[in-house]
Amino acid sequence: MKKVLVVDDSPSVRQQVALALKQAGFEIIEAVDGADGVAKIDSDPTVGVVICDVNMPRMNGLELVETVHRNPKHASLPIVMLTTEGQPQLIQRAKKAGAKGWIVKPFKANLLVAAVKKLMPA
Amino acid sequence: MLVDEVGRFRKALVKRIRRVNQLTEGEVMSAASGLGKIVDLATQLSSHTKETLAGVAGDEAEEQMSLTDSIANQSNTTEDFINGLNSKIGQQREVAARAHQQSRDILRAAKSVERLSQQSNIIALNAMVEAARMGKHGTSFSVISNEMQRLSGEIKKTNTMVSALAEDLSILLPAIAQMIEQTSDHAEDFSGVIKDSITDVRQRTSDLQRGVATLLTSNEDSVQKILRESQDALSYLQFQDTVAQGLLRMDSMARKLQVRVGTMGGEEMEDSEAMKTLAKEEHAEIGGEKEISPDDAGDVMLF
Repeated sequence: MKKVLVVDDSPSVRQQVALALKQAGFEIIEAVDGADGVAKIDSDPTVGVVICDVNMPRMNGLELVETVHRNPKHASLPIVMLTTEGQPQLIQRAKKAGAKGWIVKPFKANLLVAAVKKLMPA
Repeated sequence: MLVDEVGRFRKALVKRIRRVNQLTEGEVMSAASGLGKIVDLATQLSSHTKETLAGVAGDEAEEQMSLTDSIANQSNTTEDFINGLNSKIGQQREVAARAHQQSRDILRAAKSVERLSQQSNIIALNAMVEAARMGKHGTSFSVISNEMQRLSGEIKKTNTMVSALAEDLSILLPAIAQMIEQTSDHAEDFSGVIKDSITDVRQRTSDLQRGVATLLTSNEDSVQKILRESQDALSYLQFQDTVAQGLLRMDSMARKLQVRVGTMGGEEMEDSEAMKTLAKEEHAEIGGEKEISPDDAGDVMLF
């Protein structure tokens, strides 16, 4: 089973997402912000899905999506935004940058797991 | 002076905010870690129960199946034996019936022989009378008639023995046929008992397997319930992120307030470098100002 990269500056959110996904059998790696997330994606080809916060220091989630998808090697990597934000312009920007989904916190574990299962490449 | 006052106030506020954030973050992580341990333990317990049940079911079922196979093999052997026995019994029954018929034929033949013996005896007596009438010339006839009479007596004695034997046979053979029937009945009863035993063992094996399956389902249901409830509990712990975002906003507002106080008297406060820097930092760390409706929480939108 491929890995899920969880990118969030909040340790408790990373922990909670990891708990929910580990229960469903996924392997988890974590990144503390967008820049760390991009580095992890570049260094680990087994990452299958990325769950990413929007508001983070150094590099935010939308910048991460844009940076990752500019690289042809990662153009099809599914990235789902997990955020307290819900502004339509942010959602549109994420969609335009190639994000595959938008989940509003607090998340429901079963829906998060279902989304990851759907997006995880076979 | 006022700027310094606001600065001190802001520093104290930021300190408190960070302490509150660290405290809630730590407590939430500790609680989530506890939840994770509960789930791990439940999963481990479930796996252990599954393995134990599978082991019990496997050993017991294997033993029962081995016993069933052994009995089934014995049963097949016994059934073959009984079928062979029944076939032999059928042949014996046929032979006994034929022998019975033949003994009756012998009896009938013996009666005919007896009649012939009586007739030859009468002929011998008549020959003797005729020989006596012929006097001296009938001496040789007399010898022949005496011989015929003696032969007739011998035939009668032998015939009596044959009749007695045939009579005994006609009584014994039906008894033998009855014993053959009884043997056949016993063999069928034995076959029935063996078949009932196999059915019983198979039923017990099936009951055991059903029992284990029920326990496994119940065990799986319990684990799923624990997982669902832990997921629910996990969602309640997510307030921390909202708290952290709120605290960051409060921090940002305090900094904005300090800048405003510092630039008080200026005409274009919003365009000042300090305000621009603040706005940029705020955008990077907090995002927009829109509050999320509780109804939106947990929504999953896949593009």
